[in-house]
Order: sequence, then C-alpha cells, then structure tokens
Amino acid sequence: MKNKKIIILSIVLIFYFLIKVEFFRHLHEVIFIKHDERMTKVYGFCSDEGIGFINLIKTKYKIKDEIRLINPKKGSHQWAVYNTDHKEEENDAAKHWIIINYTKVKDKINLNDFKIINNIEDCYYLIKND
Amino acid sequence: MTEITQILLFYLIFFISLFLPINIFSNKNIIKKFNSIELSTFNVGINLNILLIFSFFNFSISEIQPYIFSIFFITFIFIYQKKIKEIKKYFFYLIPVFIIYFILSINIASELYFGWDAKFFYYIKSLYFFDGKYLSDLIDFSSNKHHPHLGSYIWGFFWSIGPMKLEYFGRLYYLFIFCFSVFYISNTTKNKNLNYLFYALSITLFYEYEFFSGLQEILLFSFLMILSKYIFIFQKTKNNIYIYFILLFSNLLLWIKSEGIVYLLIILFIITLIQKNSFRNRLLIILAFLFLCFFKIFIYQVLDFNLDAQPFYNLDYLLSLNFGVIINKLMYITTWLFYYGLTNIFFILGLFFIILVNFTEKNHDYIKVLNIYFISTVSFFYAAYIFREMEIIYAIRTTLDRLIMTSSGFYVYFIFLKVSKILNQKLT
Repeated sequence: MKNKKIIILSIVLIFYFLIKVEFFRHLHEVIFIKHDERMTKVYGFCSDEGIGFINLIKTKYKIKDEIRLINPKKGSHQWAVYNTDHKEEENDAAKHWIIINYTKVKDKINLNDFKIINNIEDCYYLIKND
Repeated sequence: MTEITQILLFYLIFFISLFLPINIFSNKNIIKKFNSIELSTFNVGINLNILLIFSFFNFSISEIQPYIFSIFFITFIFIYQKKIKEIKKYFFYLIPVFIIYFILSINIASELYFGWDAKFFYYIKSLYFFDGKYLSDLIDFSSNKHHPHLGSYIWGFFWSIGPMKLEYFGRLYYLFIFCFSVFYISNTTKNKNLNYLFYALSITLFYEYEFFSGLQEILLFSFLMILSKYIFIFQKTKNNIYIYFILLFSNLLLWIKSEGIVYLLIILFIITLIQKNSFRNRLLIILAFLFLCFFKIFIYQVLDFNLDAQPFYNLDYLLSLNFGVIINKLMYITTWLFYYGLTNIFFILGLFFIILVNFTEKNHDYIKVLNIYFISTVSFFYAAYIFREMEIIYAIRTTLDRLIMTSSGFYVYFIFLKVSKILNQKLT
C-alpha cells in the first residue's frame, strides 16, 4: 500500500515536472530548429544582442581577426565576438566592426570612415578605411 | 536529432566517469564498507581534482583529451570487463538520474541564454580553454581576476568533445553533477521508491533554468550537498576516509568561486569541532586545509594573477563605516535575507527543521553541525554586504538570492532525513 502511494505520487510529480519545464515544446525545438536559429530566437537577429546578425557575418565572411561590436543595448555583448587570439586592448584598433541598431549610435559613428560590407535592417558589417 | 544523440552520448560519458579511478564494485576490504554510489561520488571528487591539476599546466584541452580518454577507457575495460551485469544493474539503479538529466538537458539546449556573470566572465574563460589556450593566457582577459577558473575549465573541456562543438554541451556536465548529487543525498531510507520520490520532488521544486545558464553557483550547491552527507556519515562512523574526500571537495569549492574560501573555512571549522580525535589529528586537518589555501595563493603568484581582486572591499571603506551606516545596512540585509530566504525552498525548510530539531531533539549530533553552518553562513552574508563599498540595495539584489541558493545546498540532506522520518510515519 505504502509503495503504491509512493509510485503514484512519483508518476504524478514527473508529469507535473514535464509540464513545468515545457519538455515537449523544448524537445520539438531541439529536434526541428537548428542551434543557430535557436540562439537567434533567444538573442534576436538585428535586435537585442543581435546574435543572429553576428553569427551570419562570422560564418559568411569567415572572419579570423578581431571584431569590434557596437551595441547600444545595456550590458556586455563582447562575449559574442570575443577573440582569444587577440589582446583586449587591440579591440579599439579592430578593422572589422559590427553595429547592431545603428540608428541609436549614429551620432558616434561616421559611416564615411568605413566600407559597408553588409547591411541588414539596422545592422551593419563594416571594414575600417585604412 | 543529432543534438539529441549527442546529449545521450554525453550521459554515457558522464556515467562512465563515475567508475574510475576507484573500482566501485571492488571486493577489497577497505572499499567494501562503501556502497557503489558513495564510491562514485569519491570518483567525481578525484576526477575533478585531476582535471584541476591538468588545468595548471600549459597543456591545451585538445592536447590532453586523447590521453585522458584513452587511459580512461582502457582502464575501464580492463577493470570492468567481467562486471557487465553489475554495470547494467547500476545503470538501471541510476535511471532516475538519466530521466531527469534528459528532461533538463532538453530544457538547457532550448533555452540557451547566459546569465549575467556567465556572459561577462565564465563563458569567455571557457572560450579560452575551448580555443586551446592555457590558464596562464587568462591574464589577457581583464575580468579574469574576479573569479577562479575551474568551472570554466570543465565547461571548455566538455564543450570541445563530441562531433558537434556547441557550448551548452560543456554546461551539461554541471547538470549531470547536480542530478547525480541530489540522487546521492536522496538515498536516505531503505525504501528505494521513497528515495526516488524525494529525488523527483526536490528537483521539481528546485529547478530553474537560470541556475544552469553558465553560472557557477550550481556546482558549489552540488558539492555542498555531497559534503553535508559526508560530514553526517563521518560524524556517525568516524571513518577518516571521509576526511580525505571532504578535503578534495573543499578544494574544488576554492577553485570554482571566490566565496569558496568562506565555505572551505566553515567546513574546516565544523570538522575540527566535531572531530573527537587527538590534537595531532586536528592539527593535521587544519594544516591540510591551510595547504589548500596557500597552494591557491602560490598558483596565483606564479601566474601573476591578482589575488586581491574584489575592488569593492578595501580598508579605507572599512575604517570609514560608522554606526548609522552599519544599522542602515543591517536593516536592508535582514529584510532582503528574509525575502530571498522565503523564496528558496531548501533554505526555508532547512531553517524550519533546524529550529524544530533544536527544540525537540537536543541530543541530535548533526544539529550542532547545522547550527554552526547556519550561523557562519548568515554571518558571512551580513559581513559581505556591510563591508562592501557599493550601493547596498543594488549589491543585495544582484547577488543575495544566489548566495542563499548556494548555501542552501548544505541543508538538503538534512531536510531529506527529516521528511523521510515524517513520511515513513504517515505512509504506513
């Protein structure tokens, strides 16, 4: 009797837990949506941290050099472009720039100083003029 | 589908890591006293300390991985080739760990986002290790100084194995350690089903994705759970083997988060107080703990890392504190401690049972341990915020919930013990 009660309780708990963590929705996403797309869903394409745009640029242009990321959103975004082959001080002199939400930072960046390599919505991939 | 396959494959790797270096099915007298799951926790402690030692040398993860895995799998086959039945039995015994691991790993694989500290510190550190850099290279990372590296090293280590090199696979080891630790301490009764119920119940009540968003607190929480059970058994059996493993796990705390030193000192304090051994033995334990602290200082000095890395704590501020400021801070800390304490199921239940047992079971040996732990950790919370030169509410709201969560790991085993006693009475 005691064991029966415990087993029933455990099964109920497991079902409650599956609902609590939205297991089936997440399972569907992991099976049918690619990792990069899931990241974009979490961090935005050209909004929020702009991970979708950053990943697109990194993959398309296979950039090995330091990237300078400008994002007006509060908080750290450097993790998305951090390059362990370069010292942090070198970031200021980076040739490759990615700008998320250009409109909000246009006072600080003069596009004439750069060559526009890619632009989607309000996000830019730029290379600094020599 | 390939991600699911790799998640399952990783469980097998983590599961196999429980079998070495100590043979968990050995018939040797010294080992026979312990059950398989106990020995598996010993193996976790040893393996993580071995990884820690590797991390000090200038070997990249990709250089050492083939050697580690080859030695591991050859030894595994050599030791366990005739133990297939036992391995199968043990696998099915740990099936709840697998079920919870699978459910939660899907959650992690889908949610993906990083916690604030993970973005600023831990992810970037793990990226260094993933990219084949060494511990000494972390000097180039300006935020390195704020936190130790072991959690990130583990993250980078598991991130880089397997065909799909996705960062969250590194974090799955945190999940495995958590699932396994809770399972280990949920073994409080002889009724297997009741233990499984505790396991499912505690994970259901406790789990939040945030804990696995790259933050390191979940590792401290898991190790504190294991340590609490070790201390309980040590107090009962006086088996000195536990002292060695308490030392090993305490060492891990030291290398995972800065506040690990506080937990290490609290555990040292508890051990020296409850140990009824000779003065010589106590002295040896104190020296061993001090050695761990000095070893960290030594490593930091060799690598030219900053030991005084908490800019918010300084002598000038400490001397400038007046009575009014302290009272004001005390009020804020108490209010928020009450609030966050109420929102943490293990903290509030732990406190409830500590108070209850203090009044009802005065001869309960373990209650002394919990009293010391509770008073020490709460004093640490107060001291941490009073001496911190930072806007008090901001400081509290960004960290106190995590401090409480971490410290509550030590109460979980005690809660299980008390609840199992109550349930045993009610369900019969």
